[in-house]
Amino acid sequence: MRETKFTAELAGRIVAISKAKGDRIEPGDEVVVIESMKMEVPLTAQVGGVVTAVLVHIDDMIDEGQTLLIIDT
Amino acid sequence: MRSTAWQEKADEIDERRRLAKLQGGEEAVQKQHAKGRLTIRERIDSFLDEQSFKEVGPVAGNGERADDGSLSFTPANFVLGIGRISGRHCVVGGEDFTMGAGSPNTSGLRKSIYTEDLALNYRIPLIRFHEGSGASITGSGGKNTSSLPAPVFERSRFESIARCLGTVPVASAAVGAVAGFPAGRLVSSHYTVMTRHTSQILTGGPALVERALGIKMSKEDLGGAHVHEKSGLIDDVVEDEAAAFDAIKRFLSYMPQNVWELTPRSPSSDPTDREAPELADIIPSNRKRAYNMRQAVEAIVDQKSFFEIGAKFGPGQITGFARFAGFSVGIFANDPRFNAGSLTAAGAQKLRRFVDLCQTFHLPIVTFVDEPGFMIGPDAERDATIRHGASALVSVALSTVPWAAILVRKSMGLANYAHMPPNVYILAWPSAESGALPVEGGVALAFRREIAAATDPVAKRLELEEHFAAQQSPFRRAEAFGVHDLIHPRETRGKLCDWIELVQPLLKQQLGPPQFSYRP
Repeated sequence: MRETKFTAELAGRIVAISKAKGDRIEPGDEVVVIESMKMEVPLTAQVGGVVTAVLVHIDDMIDEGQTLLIIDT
Repeated sequence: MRSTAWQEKADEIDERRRLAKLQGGEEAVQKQHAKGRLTIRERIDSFLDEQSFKEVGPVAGNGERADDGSLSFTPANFVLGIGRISGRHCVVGGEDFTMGAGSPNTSGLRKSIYTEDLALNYRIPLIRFHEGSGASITGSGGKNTSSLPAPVFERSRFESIARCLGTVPVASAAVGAVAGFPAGRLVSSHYTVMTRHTSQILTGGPALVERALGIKMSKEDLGGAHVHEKSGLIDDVVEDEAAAFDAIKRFLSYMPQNVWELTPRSPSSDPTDREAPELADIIPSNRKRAYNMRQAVEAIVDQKSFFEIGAKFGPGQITGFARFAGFSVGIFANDPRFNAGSLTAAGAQKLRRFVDLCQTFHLPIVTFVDEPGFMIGPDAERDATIRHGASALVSVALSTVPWAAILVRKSMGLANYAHMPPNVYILAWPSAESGALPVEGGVALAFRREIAAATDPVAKRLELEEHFAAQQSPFRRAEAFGVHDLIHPRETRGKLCDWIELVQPLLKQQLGPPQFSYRP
């Protein structure tokens, strides 16, 4: 069991959060959707596990590299 | 057969060869390994086909006979020679960091200077493994000698480095700290990599920086991988030296031996008429939704043949190489996830180098177009985006290699010329949209007053956007013969495989040095 940070690969505004605390994630699942330059960019999980914390909210402006979720892998 | 006349000298040849292989000595070699780095001889042996290294100047160095007659020999601290990768000849060279921290001794400097000449003479690719900070202020003879300044007729060191770039593929790796002249030489390549944890690249090292600017920073903070992954100085960061060798070999597999030859065709078992039905759903029907462009590219090119370079610099633009029916091509595409795929200053710089590289080595270019236009806004203006953009557009407009453009989604604005040189072969997908500006921006700009004056401004704006979106439909463009064909995405591979066979004779007719040479 290991804590893995799910970080944003680009900056933008959170427009959707598809996973909640306690949800199971598989690699390839959509985790959040970020809006950048009027485009909705889905960010997908690279690893599988269980979400232990969701650190952002809808409409948050996030930076590249910012931690969005913690996943227990 | 022992020769009485020459045996002494014959023995001395063998002795010098043996001593040269000891490099900087056992202790220095161990120190190198302890830092997670190979020696230059280990790098060369690891990189090349087994047993293929034929060294040039193996007994260049400085020999001294002691009073008791014993020979001490200090080899040149630069190793150079010719070998093979996958059977193809190449030149390899690099500094020997176990001696003088790679700062060249006299014979090392001579071999180092000769490296590019060797590649130019035999017209074969050049690979350099760089580690070292170039000449010391004391000169190559060491602290106790003083050397004469160079005469007026001495050849410019940079000339051969520059000429190589328009003649043979050049690939370099930073596999330790690289500063000064070696750093300039490192980046004067077509493809440059650095190792993540064991290399740094610096114009000037910490001591110089502190002396000149009063700033104290470690070489890792100044020029480590985390800095240059995004600075555009290199193409790619690789995890370790083995990964550097693999990346360089992979890059060279798409390149010819020199500008007078084409890249050899690779064997391919991927059927040219393979349809990729998954392509039908890759582009979301929601126009605002980004998607995975790389997935589309990989479904269309020969399987597993896509090799991307420079992903972390200018991430809105994807540049790399692939094959169709075994023929090598350059690939250029937008990544809609980053700034909607708009062309930034960094992306334009990456694109300009990429187009010039393909033009130099006669690689056709296939571009997957989802182009919203140049990046806008205050940061973009400060970055002089349109100047870098124009540089790329001129390279594209003057390129003579065949291009094919697949209109995947947007195809807008001045930046569209980054995908459309003269005579480009254009195929559109049903998801293609073309026009001067994205609908939203264009309507907001041209109909500002009408929208503000309407009883329901939002409804009015939507009505206008729908009207103009219809005008950008691919059917209208196809009717006007504005594309060569409007196709199902699954037909793309077949069409491009036909096209790649069609253009091979054109490439043969263009062989020779590039008109504008290659600027790193």
